[in-house]
Amino acid sequence: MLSWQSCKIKPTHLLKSTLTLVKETIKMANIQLEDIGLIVHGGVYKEHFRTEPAFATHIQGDLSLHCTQLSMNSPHCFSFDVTDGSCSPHIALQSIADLLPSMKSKYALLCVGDDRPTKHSEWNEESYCFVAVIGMSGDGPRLVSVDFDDHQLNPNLTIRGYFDEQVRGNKVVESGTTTYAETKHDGHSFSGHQRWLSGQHMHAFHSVMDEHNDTHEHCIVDRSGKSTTAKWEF
Amino acid sequence: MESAKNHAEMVSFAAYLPEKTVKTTSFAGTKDMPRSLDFVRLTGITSHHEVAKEQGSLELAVQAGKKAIARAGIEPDSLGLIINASVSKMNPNLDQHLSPSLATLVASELGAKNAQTFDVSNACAGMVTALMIAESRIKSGKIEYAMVISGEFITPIIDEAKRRNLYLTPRAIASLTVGDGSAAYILGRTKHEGRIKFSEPITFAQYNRHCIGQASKRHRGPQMRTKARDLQNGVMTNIGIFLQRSLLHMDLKWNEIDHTYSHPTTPKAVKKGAKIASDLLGEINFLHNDSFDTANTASTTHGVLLEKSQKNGYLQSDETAIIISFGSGLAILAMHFNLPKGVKDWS
Repeated sequence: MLSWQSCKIKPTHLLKSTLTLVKETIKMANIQLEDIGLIVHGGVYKEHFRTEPAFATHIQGDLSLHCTQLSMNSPHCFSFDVTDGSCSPHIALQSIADLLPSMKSKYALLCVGDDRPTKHSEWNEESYCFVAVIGMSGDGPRLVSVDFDDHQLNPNLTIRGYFDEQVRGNKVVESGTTTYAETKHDGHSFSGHQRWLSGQHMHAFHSVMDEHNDTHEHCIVDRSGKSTTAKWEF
Repeated sequence: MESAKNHAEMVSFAAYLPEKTVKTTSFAGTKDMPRSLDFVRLTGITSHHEVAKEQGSLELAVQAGKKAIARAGIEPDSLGLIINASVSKMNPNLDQHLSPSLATLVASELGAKNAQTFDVSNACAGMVTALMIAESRIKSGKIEYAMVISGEFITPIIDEAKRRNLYLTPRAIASLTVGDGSAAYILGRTKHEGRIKFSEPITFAQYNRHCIGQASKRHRGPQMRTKARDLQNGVMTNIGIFLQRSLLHMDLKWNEIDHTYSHPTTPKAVKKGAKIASDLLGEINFLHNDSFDTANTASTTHGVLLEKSQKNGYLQSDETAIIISFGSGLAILAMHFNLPKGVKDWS
């Protein structure tokens, strides 16, 4: 991870905030925007429960990144989204680690965050936007592995979008209840609150990592009980 | 070629279409369309399949998943990864599944208790995008088998379009070209190199607002708005160079590809693209352009067409196929692979 930035965002400012952070992180990584060949977005909630296209294509488009007709030698970029509850950032990281080595470009953007889907959706969440430049080499923390653990999964703890006939609008509804795990930081390992959205998990871990560079394990426990752990090497 | 490294190959694929069929003329006859448009003639789509009452994206996906596992001759718990690529992710009540990934529920239904699970969203190009990730994970040696799966319960956008005045909302007309269905692919580890190859994946993000799918603001279920002609122009402008680049990148000869499958937005659109490809690269050995009775089943289209080819006895083990995938965004990528052993004899 060559550079990263995060910020708290207003309920529907994900794209705008992402674009601002992309510009800052690219500058910090000392590369050019055109060097980016892959954009992966991780999150759950999108404006109006958008299903297509991928949110990452809006990031690429608004950056005007390789938005040209193809020629035999023209550079290009590929953009898509991944999702798995609040574990989405780790899935996005893993996907970049899977694909980047076989791509011509050696830099990718990891973008994380959620938008309040509609004004009818109750929204007590703190939404953060997180952006990082990932490279094949460099001085930043190196991703060693991402492991998953589904032993605590309760498949009945789901979140859906549905149309509420009374308010004539789309809402978010959660099924099932659970006791959420609290934030834990013990020595090398950090785990955020189970209720957090993806962006807050990344924001909090990297804030801790900035202060304590011996913290190299980041565990995210999703509301459903699924968890992922990313291990970093400095 | 055998090598010491790990490589991936296609072990099985499967598709499932719900029983109910609906004729295009029953909802898009000349009397229904602006300027008495002959929609069947325009698109080449005569009918599509629709879910039963109790079916949603998950239930469709599970049907294809079970078939793919049986054809692969493996146990569900040998799957190390399941990626779902559904665009629709809707339950029978038209609620949109958001979290955790739909792949989590698929794995639970299939009994794949050792699989990591997550969803990839890249519109109709989602399955091939997910196949790239799966192939890479197998090559890394971390897993032996991966499943890429998708169930598309997408026909509610037909109803949504029908509720709109199509004279006033011409961007809803493309919503009439879809059908429900599901598909699954299983990749496995091999020592043989080159049994799956991918093109450079490309997103032409200048077209990222040409096809938008989201929840309808006025009633239950989804809607889709498309600048269909502009989007198709985006594909046609770039497809020739894309194929030339892809053949170079994958080290392939066009005339040695046995079967070609393109994303069938409509059979007519595939014909147009095929003409560009033939003029530039030569004759296509076998273009499978028979989506006339299944329509556009979003991310699952290639799987649905492969299943049809298999049922019709067109496929032989170790023949090669190329899948050319397009998705709103505009994503374009291709996958070339050797057909699985025993494909001819699958039930």
